[in-house]
Amino acid sequence: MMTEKIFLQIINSLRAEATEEVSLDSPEREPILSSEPSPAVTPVTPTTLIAPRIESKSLSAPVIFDRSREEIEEEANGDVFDIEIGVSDPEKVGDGMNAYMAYRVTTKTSLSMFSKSEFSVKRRFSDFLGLHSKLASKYLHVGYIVPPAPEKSIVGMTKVKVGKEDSSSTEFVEKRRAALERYLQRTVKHPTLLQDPDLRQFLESSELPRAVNTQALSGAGILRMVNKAADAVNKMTIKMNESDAWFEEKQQQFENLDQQLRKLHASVEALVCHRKELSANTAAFAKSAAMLGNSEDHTALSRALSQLAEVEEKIDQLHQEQAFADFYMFSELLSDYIRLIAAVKGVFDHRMKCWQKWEDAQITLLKKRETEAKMMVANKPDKIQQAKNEIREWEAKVQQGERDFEQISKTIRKEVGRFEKERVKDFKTVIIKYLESLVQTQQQLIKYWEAFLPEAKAIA
Amino acid sequence: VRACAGPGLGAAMMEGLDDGPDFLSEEDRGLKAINVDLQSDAALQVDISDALSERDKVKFTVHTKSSLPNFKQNEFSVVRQHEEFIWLHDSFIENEDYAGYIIPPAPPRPDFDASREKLQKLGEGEGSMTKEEFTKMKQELEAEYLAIFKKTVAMHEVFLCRVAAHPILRKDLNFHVFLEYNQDLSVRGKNKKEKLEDFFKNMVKSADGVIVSGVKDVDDFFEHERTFLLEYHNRVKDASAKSDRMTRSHKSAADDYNRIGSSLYALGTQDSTDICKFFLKVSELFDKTRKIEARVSADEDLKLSDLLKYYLRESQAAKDLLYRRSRSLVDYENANKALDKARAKNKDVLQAETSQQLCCQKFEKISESAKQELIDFKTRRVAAFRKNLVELAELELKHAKGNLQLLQNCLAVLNGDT
Repeated sequence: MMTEKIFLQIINSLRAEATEEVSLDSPEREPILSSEPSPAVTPVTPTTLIAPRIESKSLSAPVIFDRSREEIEEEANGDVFDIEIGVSDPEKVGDGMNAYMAYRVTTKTSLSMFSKSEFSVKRRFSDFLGLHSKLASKYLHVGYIVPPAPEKSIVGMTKVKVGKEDSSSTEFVEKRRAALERYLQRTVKHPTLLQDPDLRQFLESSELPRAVNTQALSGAGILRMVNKAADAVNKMTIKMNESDAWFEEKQQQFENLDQQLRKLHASVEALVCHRKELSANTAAFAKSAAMLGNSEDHTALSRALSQLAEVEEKIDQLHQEQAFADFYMFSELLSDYIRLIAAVKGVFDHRMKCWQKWEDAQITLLKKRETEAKMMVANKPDKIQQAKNEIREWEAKVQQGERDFEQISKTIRKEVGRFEKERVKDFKTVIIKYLESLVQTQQQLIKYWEAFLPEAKAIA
Repeated sequence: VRACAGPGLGAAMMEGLDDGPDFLSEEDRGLKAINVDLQSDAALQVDISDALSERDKVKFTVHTKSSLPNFKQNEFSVVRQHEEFIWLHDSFIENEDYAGYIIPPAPPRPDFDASREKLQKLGEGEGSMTKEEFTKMKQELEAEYLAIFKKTVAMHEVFLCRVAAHPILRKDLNFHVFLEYNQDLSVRGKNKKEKLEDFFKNMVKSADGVIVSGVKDVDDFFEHERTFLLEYHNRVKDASAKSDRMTRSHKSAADDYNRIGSSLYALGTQDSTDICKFFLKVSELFDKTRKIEARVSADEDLKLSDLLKYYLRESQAAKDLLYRRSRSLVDYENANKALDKARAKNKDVLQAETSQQLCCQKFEKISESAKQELIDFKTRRVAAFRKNLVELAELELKHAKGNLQLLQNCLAVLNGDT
């Protein structure tokens, strides 16, 4: 039985290897070697052996059993998780179609797995996509809900590249910056993903090998699309004997939730649109009222109309700010969760594939046993031996398949539990913040109209 | 105001009436207040006491109370339709004796087309939405219909009140017939030929207007008024259009709150976690806040948009008065020239003299009454704007405070739970 010390040493050396690879290659930005995901701290084994060390450099109590691991993770889900991520200072690098936006990623943490307590690096959008791609390839197929990265936008980015300095491209950059921030915050909140060396490298390393395989029209991109299509077809043909009603129930629930969220999202998007329209129309009215005030030949009324114009101008500003809140708090929350639920559905699909693999192994084992029986009847000693070998091989595969299936089922149960808790917290926090923004708007409105009322009364 | 519509809307309309009794009184105050000096004059009081909305027409019950000897009774009512109001208005316009007055603008035609179309579309789409959503939208559209209805009643009423308050127009015979004759006036709408004639008349008038207004007025007062009215009219037109658009956006946003509330409700009833209560409470909030936002939009429409629209029409009527005066001035000047010519030729001098005197009298009469009318117009305008702007501010404050309280109460509950 390994002591935790030895286990740690192995992990550390693996990590060192990965870091070395990066520093060797980064000057030339050689993508081929180091863009591959570094060896994962295999998720199936207790990764939280390396529990977040907070005060001292020494290890916390070794945990080898699942129960304790769960406890530690629950504790970790509370306030023991001390890491804050900020994405800021978008900066355009380069010119023309090769230009890109670089974002500053700042980490503030007291977790001692990081070498410093506060540090920042520059990353571009494809780096984020690369990170997600690595995490997804390591953790999705074993049942972890990996937060999806923000979506690509060819139109949006082209405008920025071409150098249009208008408000729509500034909006686009801000929208992306906020989305990247939320993406990272969600990823680090996941106790397992936080342990991943690729994530740490992303946050800490000053140079990161460029992830080229994330380009939409690259060879890898097209391969991904083909695989996705194949997956979709496969999903339709897998008929799983669901022995566990929990999974069926949950899948249905997520399906319903998905539908409802999409509907709500559409309504909120409409609200954002109308609010912006209202803002524009209020501004137009304000100007018109000012003109009317100018041509009014009764002095007091003229003044009051000018005041009205000023009030409406201020209200226009309010509408703009409210539309901002409508979008960044409410609308984006919903669209994030719509994509998260797609990731959850993906994880359920992986479980189905896992089951299929196990099922296939069982069928193959049966065939091998039949072959053995045939060989025994035909009395061919060397073929019998071969058959026996193959049977052993496939028995092991069946066992592994069963273990994998059980493991992924267990992981999914836990992940869904964590996801639901996060969802509830997220929604409550953001919606309360949104309502507070509405409160602020009303308070400002009261101030403005209270200031105007005496002006109106003063018309004589 | 009783509002009954054709088949399918009857009972529902009655329900809608109970929703907010103060709606009617505020509206009444609002539009009547556009002309503040129309208040209690015991000699002649006119109002629209009832109205019936049928498929393609509205029937107004015009109720009169008068101590004047011209009428057979002291109090009586008749039923009139929109076309009869227009007939009355046109008879004023065409009457030469009234050339020196601002003729109260005619009320716009009752237009329920848009509202009816929406209700029809809703009926067609009934299958594609939940029962709750359908009921909500139906209530909304019915309230909208009712609001348009109340507005048209108020606008017809204001027209009659303006006439009743005017010292000269109130004595008009056609007006008395309109008020008293309890049979159908058999006034048909203008046929195509007449409408075409009107069109050409208006064209000529505006072409004329360009020529006539080129003449600089000797009188400073009228010169100032002309400059002022031309600019003011255009600016009021612009402000009225922009105000309209603003109120409509406001209403769209309020409608979105409705849908958001419904979605949140669905989420709240279906969710498997303890966030259900949360969603239901927020859904309730959106439903309530939506009602307030809809009222804000309606009140802005009333106090701002309608005010501006009314003064758009009134300033046009004032412009028309100026035009008529200018016309009579041109006639006067032409008569002068004709007289000079006649005297030079020594032919038909008497005729020319009489004609010139008539023109002079007409011009002076118009100028005198026009001056008073324009001064009154300003007084009315200032008073109306004051009243409406004050009421607008007070209502905005009331609604914002209501909204604020709703939000704060909801937040207290939500924060207490979590």
